[in-house]
Amino acid sequence: MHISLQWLLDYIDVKDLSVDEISSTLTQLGLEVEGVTTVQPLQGPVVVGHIIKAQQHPNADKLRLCQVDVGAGEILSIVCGAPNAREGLKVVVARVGAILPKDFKIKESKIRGEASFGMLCSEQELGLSESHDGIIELPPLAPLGASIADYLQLNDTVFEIGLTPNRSDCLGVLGVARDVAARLGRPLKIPALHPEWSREDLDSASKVKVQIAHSQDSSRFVGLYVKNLRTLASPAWLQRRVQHAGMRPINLIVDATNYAMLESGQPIHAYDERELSSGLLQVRRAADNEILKTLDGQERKLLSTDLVIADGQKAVGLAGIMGGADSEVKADTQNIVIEVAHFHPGLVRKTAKRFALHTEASHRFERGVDVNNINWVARRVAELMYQATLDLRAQGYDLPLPEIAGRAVDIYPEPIKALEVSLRTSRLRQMTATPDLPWDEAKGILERLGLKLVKQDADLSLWHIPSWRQDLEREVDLIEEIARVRGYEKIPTKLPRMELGALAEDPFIEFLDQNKIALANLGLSEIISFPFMSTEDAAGLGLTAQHPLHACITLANPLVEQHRLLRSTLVPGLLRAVYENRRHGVQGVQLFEAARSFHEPRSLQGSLSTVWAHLPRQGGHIPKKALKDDRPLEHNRIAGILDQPYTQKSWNQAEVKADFFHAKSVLTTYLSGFGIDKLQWKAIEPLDYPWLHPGAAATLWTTQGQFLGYAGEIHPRTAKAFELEPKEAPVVFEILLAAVFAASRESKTYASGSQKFPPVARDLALVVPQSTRFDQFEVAFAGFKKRKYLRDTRLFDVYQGPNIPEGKKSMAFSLVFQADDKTLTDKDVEKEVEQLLGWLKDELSAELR
Amino acid sequence: MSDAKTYTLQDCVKKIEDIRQTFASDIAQLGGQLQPRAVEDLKVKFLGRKGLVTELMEALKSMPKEDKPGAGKVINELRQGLEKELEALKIKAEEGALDQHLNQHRLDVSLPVQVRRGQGSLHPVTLMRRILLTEFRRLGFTVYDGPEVDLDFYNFSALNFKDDHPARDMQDTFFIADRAKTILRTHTSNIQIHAMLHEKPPLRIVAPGRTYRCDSDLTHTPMFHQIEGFVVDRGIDMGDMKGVIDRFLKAVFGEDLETRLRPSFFPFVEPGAEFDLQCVACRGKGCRICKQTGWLEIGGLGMIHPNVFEAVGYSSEEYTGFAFGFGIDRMAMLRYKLSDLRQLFEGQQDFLGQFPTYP
Repeated sequence: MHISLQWLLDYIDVKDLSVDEISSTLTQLGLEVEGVTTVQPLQGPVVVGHIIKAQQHPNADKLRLCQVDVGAGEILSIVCGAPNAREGLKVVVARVGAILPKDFKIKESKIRGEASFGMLCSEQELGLSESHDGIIELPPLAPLGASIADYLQLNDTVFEIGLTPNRSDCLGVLGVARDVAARLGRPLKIPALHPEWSREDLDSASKVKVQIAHSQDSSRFVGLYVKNLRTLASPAWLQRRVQHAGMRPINLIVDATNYAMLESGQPIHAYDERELSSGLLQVRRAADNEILKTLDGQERKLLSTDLVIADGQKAVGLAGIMGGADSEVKADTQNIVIEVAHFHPGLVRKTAKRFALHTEASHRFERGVDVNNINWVARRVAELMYQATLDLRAQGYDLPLPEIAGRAVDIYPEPIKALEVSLRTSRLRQMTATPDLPWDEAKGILERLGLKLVKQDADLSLWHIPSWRQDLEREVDLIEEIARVRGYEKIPTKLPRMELGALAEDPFIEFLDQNKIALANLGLSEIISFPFMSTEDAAGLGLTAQHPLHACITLANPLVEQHRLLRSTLVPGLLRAVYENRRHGVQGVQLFEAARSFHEPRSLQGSLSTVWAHLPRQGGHIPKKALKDDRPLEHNRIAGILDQPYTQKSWNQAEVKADFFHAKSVLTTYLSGFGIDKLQWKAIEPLDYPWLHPGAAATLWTTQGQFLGYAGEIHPRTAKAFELEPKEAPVVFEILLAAVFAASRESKTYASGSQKFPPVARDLALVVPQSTRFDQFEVAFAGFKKRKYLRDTRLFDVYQGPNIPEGKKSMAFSLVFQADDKTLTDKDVEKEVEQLLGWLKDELSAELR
Repeated sequence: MSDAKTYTLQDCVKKIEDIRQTFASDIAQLGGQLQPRAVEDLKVKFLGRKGLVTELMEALKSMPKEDKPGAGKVINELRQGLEKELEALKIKAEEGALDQHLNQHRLDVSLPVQVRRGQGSLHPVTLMRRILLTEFRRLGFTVYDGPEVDLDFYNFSALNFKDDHPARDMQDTFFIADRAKTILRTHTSNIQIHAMLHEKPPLRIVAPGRTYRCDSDLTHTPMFHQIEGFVVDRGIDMGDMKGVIDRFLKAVFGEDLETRLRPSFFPFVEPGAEFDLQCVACRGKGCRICKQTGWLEIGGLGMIHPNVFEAVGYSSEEYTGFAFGFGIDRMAMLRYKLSDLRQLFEGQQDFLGQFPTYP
């Protein structure tokens, strides 16, 4: 909303305030000034001149040599190329030394041998419009030698105000002025009407009939007939006001309707009387597929939810949004019907949105207009046309005075009821933390805003709400008005006095962050990515329709097709991040993200996967009362990716490729930090994890059988789908944080620490069948029945090759023996090793190498 | 010396003196560069089976009987003295040899190492969120969480967004397909409703989280982060609201900065306002970052609307409260002096890896 300072001054005297002071007054009222523009297009002498002689230029066919009187008997010789430069014309003269917009400096010059002491200006040269048809033709009575900036009222200051949607009353300059007046305590000057300008004997009803088909679509419709108008260019003040408010001056009729809208906030439309078939204007719903050509030349196919203005035969305007092309005001229009109405905000919004037609009118109708002011506005717009005509006549134009119908057609079947709101002074003082707020001050503010005190009873007062403030519904609204107009700066700054620690915090909240810190401490960098994925991403992961993660929550209105789904796993975001990093030449990144995945509740049940059925029902962040709602599942996850290479080749080290064991190492370390140090790794079912290398991936479980997540190398096919070289597929892991949280809270017993008696170490290399897995050894060691002193086993070598029989491999362990009650002898250890070898031979066919 | 000449005590003392001199001059000859080997040689020369001291012991046999005890004593003293000195020399020589050995192994300490696999990093938004939560917890707030995909009721209706209110258009909302009235939350204010339905006053709650709007350009991303805070109790007033905002902004950005409120409108508060902080870059003088105004717009706040209390079944007569909300992303950009919002969500390690793990 652009507010011209010159215009504001019509309604409230703030001449004594600086632009900064006015600006801060507006902002402190809640009418936030987002920008201030100083409009001052001309500098130096640009004045009204009179061409007293115009001759052909001796050396150029298309140029004229003019003698221009610029006042005080001074005559300038000026060469001009405009075809309309003729004797007797009043013109805009930019004299030598003047500076026009775009830093155009006027200098004394010689044009084809003739000296020229200035320039006769077009609208374009003054920055008034793009029109370069010829020089400006000023009215015959324009005062000779007067400054053009003053005469055309070019200078102004324009405030750009960001209005909140509740303040429809400030969609007109008058409403803004009312707020300023209330804050400053100065009188508001509302323009007076001139009943003497209307013709009592002329009744609009004789020219136009008005109907409202459904009263809920339009509360009020006023038609006012005005005849004998001319579509001349408006006088300067009217043009400038419209222009400084951000609209284009067109002609006297259109400019006046725009002026009245910008003043009052009430949109207005003018119809050429000739185009209204059977003199009817009705508000009705469009028929489905009805066609209307709007002012912008577009043919619009309508629906029955669209509200139109129609004459006897057809739609002539899209109600509250844009007029029809056929009934618009034309160059020869003389008699018009002015429409001032109310339309249902919801209908206007719906239609405007569907056609993406956001107009000055629709903007205001969507936010609501002052229904009780409609009659005043109709009168006001007609009188603006009258006033403009008077001004043009005073400047020497010969045109008739318009005739305004003394009576308008006013359909207002159910006048809106005035709202009354009560206010307790005690509540006002409590809420604003101002126990001594003077009642007179509060009362004065409400009255200056247009509220009327209906009655007062000690603490309680009852207020009548003006029709332009439909946003004032309850006591708090009145309290805000008083606080806002007084100024929030007057409210004291203090701190609440409350009970200590009323509400315990869910420990899961801090736990989430601790997971991030733990992974960051292991060398990974946190990323945050958008939670969207596409059906292509799902396909790239290898998710078939049967897979539980395939049933994603879907957006009805994604910004782009790639954002249609909410992710059911964090992997796509990580793969994309790796792609971006590689594209920028950054190798071997190690990233993680902690975020939510989203699931259809049904999708995780009865799936082909036993693993995914272990997912918890709903994340703990959903308060229990909301669990009853039918809502998607949200799971907190943390996922990481280790890109290739794990370690770049260097002067002291060969390149190390990232593999499953790096991810396993990260997870083992990270989880041990949460006290989870007994983990089970199980080879994956490839169908459960189609995006992972089937042989280099595993699921992760607690010893109690709680599923925690998985880790694995990315399947070459998935790598390719995400535009990553299949041979350089990264390694990922993904963990369910609710499960980790639960596991971390399992109670645990702690050993007493270091032993009293010294340990004894022995290394054993054992030859076993090639298919033997490490975890079989773990089981065997754990089940070693004759164990007395064996305390620790650690695998330090896996070997296949020369010296080992075909089909076998060697696994070498460091064993540690220790007793609680004595220092072990060699003999003690030898005996236990013997027994262990026998056990391993039975269990795993292991032979000492 | 091996002839049959008989030694007297005096001879013996003289001989001892000779041996001491020889020992001293041998050591002097070795100079500072003691080698364990040279010390070993000395030991053999003086204390070995055919060493000078052993030889003297041999000569003791031929001494007069009355001289023997005295001579024996001084020779023993000599031997013990030498042993002690040699042991000290040995230790010294071994240490010297170790130093020499180590000194010969000089690394090129300027050789490059790979440091990436050291500390990772937290995202600046996470860091900023942790700073904020720390301050709010100090002020007695409890952190709360809630759903990102939510029902219209929690995100709009209960927050006094009327069905037909233009404010709903201000929120360009993502809708979930095939589900009634289900959306991606457009703000963290939905937590107000969840928390109030679930807990009883007095409440002091903050709730950070991801939020979503259909908006994407240089300064908007479809996903962004907000933090919501609210206080509900008997007798809470606008002064408390001003105080909490002022306290927390000063704690985070500096005690010397001013804060201010400007009236504004949000359906779920009344009176409503936006709150500004004096520009952190220019300290209020006016610069590019604050568009010459000296102020940064931080967020919105207001007294909780009685319609909101009524929607969750609280008495709007008994309780008053205030709520506030603001974006974390832009605040992180201010704190870490970042200029490109979109960079936050592109996952570039060379950018994100610069950030610490502790704010």
